[in-house]
Formats: sequence, C-alpha cells, structure tokens
Amino acid sequence: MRTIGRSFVLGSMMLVLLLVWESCSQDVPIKPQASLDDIEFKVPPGFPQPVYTFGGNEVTPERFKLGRALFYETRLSRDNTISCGSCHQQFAAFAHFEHSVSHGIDGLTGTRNSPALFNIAWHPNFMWDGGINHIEVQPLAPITNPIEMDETMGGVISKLKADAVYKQMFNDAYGSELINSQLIFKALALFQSLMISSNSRFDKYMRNEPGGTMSNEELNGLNLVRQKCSPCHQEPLFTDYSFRNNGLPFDTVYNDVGRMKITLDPADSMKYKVPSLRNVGLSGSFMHDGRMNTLQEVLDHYDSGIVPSSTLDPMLSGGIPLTDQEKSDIIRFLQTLNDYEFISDERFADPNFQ
Amino acid sequence: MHIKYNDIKILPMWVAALLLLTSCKKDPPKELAKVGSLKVSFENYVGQSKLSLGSSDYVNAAGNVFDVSSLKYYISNLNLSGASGSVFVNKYFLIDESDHSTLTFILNDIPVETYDSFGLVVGVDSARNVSGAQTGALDPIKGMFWDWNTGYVMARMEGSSAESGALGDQLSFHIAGFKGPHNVIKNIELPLGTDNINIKEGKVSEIVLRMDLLEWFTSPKTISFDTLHTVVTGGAEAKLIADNYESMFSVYNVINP
Repeated sequence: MRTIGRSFVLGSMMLVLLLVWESCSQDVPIKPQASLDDIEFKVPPGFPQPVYTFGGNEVTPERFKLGRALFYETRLSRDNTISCGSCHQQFAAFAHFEHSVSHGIDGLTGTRNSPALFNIAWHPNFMWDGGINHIEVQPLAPITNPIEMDETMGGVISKLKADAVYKQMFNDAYGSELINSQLIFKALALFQSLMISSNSRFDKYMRNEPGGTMSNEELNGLNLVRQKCSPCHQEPLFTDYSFRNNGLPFDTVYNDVGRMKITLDPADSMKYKVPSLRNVGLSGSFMHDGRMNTLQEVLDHYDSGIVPSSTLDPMLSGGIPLTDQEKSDIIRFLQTLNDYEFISDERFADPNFQ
Repeated sequence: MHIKYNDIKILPMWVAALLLLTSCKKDPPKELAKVGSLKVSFENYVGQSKLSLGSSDYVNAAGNVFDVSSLKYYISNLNLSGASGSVFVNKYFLIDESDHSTLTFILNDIPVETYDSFGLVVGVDSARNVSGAQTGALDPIKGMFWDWNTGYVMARMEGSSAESGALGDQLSFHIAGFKGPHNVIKNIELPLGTDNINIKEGKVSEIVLRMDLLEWFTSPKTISFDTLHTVVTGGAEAKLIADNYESMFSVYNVINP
C-alpha cells in the first residue's frame, strides 16, 4: 500500500473531480452512446403514431442487427459492390452527400435523388412519386433496378445462404435458418424504422432540454417557417407527406412526370412527395432530382423562381416572397434541425467499419 | 341417523353437489363436419390447341400469328356453392405454364355437399397488395410483383408476333392494378350445370378447368397486335385485356368418386 504515493492519490482525485466538473458543464451533456441492447421503437414526444407498427415483425436486437447487416451488405448488388449504404450515407442523414442523382452499378445514373432516411415508420408511402405503398417492399426496387443494384432476389438469397454468419443471424432473428425474401424485407424494414431523428437542437428547444438554446435569428426563422412553409412542412415531422408541384421548371432531359406515373391522373403531373426539412443542412442536394445544391437556391426559388403550370400547388401561386434577412434567418433555423446524435449513432453505423 | 335442523340445511347442498357432479361428465363429442377434397387442374389452351410454350403458330381473332414464351396467372379465393351455402378457400396459387407441377393442386377440408357452382378469383385481392412482404406463391421472387408501383401482376403473358410493333416483335401483357376504375381483379363464377361436384367424406373429387388464351384478345374488344402489343403499366389497356379474359375459363370436366 505504501507504494501508492500520496501524490498519486491526490492526482487521481483531482482527475476524477476534473472529469466530474467537465461532465457537469452546460453546452452539450455527455450522453452515453446508445448500445445494441438498447433497441426499442419509442415514439418521440409530440410525434404522431407511426404508420408501420411491426405487425408480425416485433422489434428485437437480433432482428435489428440482421437488418443493419443487410443494409450495409454489398452482396445485395449483382457485382457485390453496392449496398444501401452506398447511396444512403449516415453522415448525410442517410442521403447521398453532394450527389444530385446517385450512381449505381457500373456507374449508371438515374433520374432521382436519393432521399435522406429517417423517421421512415411515419411514411405512408415511399419514393418521390409514392409508388411503393409499404416499407417492407421498398428494398425490392433498388435491389432489382438494373441501374442501381441490378440483382434478383434469388441471387441475393443464394449468396446469403452460402454464408454461415447469415444463417446464424436469420436463426437468431426469426427462429430458423430459413432465408427468403419476406424475412430479408422484414429485417430491413425493422432496422430502418428504428432510425429515428428527434434530437436536433430544435427538438431540445421544444422539449426545454439542455442544449436547446436558439438565437434570435433562429427563432425568427422558426416563426417564418411556421407561417410560410406550413402545412407542407408541418411539425414535428416537417412534412405532411402530400404530393405537390412546387413550381420547378420541367426537366426535358429526365422527362419525369412524378406522381402521375403512378396514378395516371393528369392532375398529378409534376407532383412529388414533400420531403422533411429535418437534417436538410446535412443531406443536400435538394428536390426530387437534386437540382439545387444550397438552401439559398431553394429559398430563392420559392421567392422568385416558381414556374406556373396547371398543377402548381395553389398555395404557391404567388410564390413565397422573402427578404434577404428572412431567407438568412430561415436558413439559420433549418440548421437547428440537424440531428448530430442521429448521424453519429453507432447503432446505425456500418458494422463492417467498427 | 338423526336429521337435525342443520342437516336439513346441508342436505340441499349435497343434492346440489351430486347434481353438479353428474352434470360435469363430458358432453358427447360434437359431430365432426364431414369433409372431402377437391383436386383442381388447369389446362391452358390456345383455341382448340393445347398451349405449348415456344413452339407453334397460334392465330388470334384479328388474324395475327403469334407464339407464347410464358404464361402465368394468380388464382385465389376459390369457392364452391351448394344448397347449404358457400365454401371459400382463402389460398393463393400461381399457375405457371413453364412448371406443370403448378397446374394441379388439392383443396382439403371441403364439407361434404353437392355443389352446383364453382368460382375463383383471377388475381390477388387488394388487401394483400397493401400488406407488405408476402411469401409462398405471393413471394416477389415469382416475378409477378411490381417494385415501382406496388402491386401484383394478376396475369402475365409473353410471346412474339410479326405484327407486334415492339422491339424484337415482343408481346408483353402484364395485367396489374387493384384500385378504382382500373382494377383488373376478376371474380369468376362457373355454374356446373349437370356436372355437380359431389364432395364425399374422405374422397377426392376433381374439376378440370380449361383456360383459353385466345379469349385475352377476342371480346368484348378484338385486339390486333399492331395496335396493342405491350401492356406493362396499369390503366385502361390492362383493364381491356382483363375484361376480355374474364371469359377465358370453362369447366372441361368434373369427376366424382
């Protein structure tokens, strides 16, 4: 005992005190990283009930891990190079950073921007044109699309069956070594539904939590968004999931008619799903084809760039006139919707890099 | 023994207990519903000729010569009707001409009865189209499920015809859509006339259905492949084909044990 000197003990005590003092300081409380044993679907305060309710697919950590493995699994693509995570990057709130449209297999590009993925359990339909009506069957589209992953479900299943690790994971998750498309889809739906974003600075402000301070400009921006961007970008999800024509000029290269392709209704021409404003500071490019790179461009468009057409949303017929100061405040507010906890949450990260 | 006043009070209890005991013996076993089975077989024809994939020159009502490389369709919600009412079998089958094992299946637990009408649905009901990932015959791996506009392809024929304006003279008829005016799901009722299905206990009856592919292109609207050769989205043209093929089934034979 005598070998542990007094100075050592004193030093340790000082270190402990320092650490305790550090963790008590105000700006950002140190939160323990959520662990893989903390897997539970919880509706954040103030959020409505979700659309997806995990029927026949109750949340378990094993199912979550399987879904995550599949999300980052490049064998879902024909040449084993592309996973969901290739175009849905966590640091960009699961959008494709600085890509207007994504490049899939063999460098092929499509016509639509990879949307950010968060709060998916609240979506009543999927894709920019709402063509997919259930979260479980969404992955079928990119997996089988010749310009994205260009694989067949049969091909995917063969590859997974050849991997003892997957057989074990399916067993742990769904009770047997059976691997079929339904279980693959359920696991992916479960993992993605747990990707909830509700801890931005704005959320903490709304919940009166530490870390929720907003500047005057940001609060002014909040008021402007509430006044001028509702009901399309309605809190707390910051979208109403409706399909709207927001006055973008028609792109004659992409020739994309939006929702009309699904409903065959001319009244749906050039209408796209309203995206959430959450994490827009992290997930640009903007609009269904990623044609805008900055929030400034977006606001300039609403202010003075609206193109009239027969299906233009009536609320936008006069545009949304904004002063330079108002645009600046709105942009400042939008940055408070960035959820840094979400993009650094290890539970959603690529397990191949941990 | 002396029956005291107190005993008299207890006596009814004993009587009651005795009655209770005797009434607690098990009910006699209910009459188990008597059931048999129905074997359902499909024969795919083109007019008078048995369908043979990839070979032969078939001729439609418009005079187009064509061949068939694949034919698949969903059959579901089979039903039988008799004097006591109707029986519904809530199952899904994918009839695939390229796999003859799919052309026949057996429905068990059919109540013993004489049935004078047989019905089926061509397609998959709307509930299944909106309920997420399905399996078995409804697995998207079967190639009968749209990934871009969620929903099942109810019937699908591929082939070629010199009259077709499509690349490679292709014919592609993927008939889908379960909503509103373009809903192509067809409920088909086939009265059996004198050929009733007599389900007998523990025995297998058989019904053989003949499907005539020419009906897809005949009436109410005669289809010429130069004007219509490709239907790969929902809508009016898919509905047109479905309205035509509503009459494609006939009862070829009923065999009772």
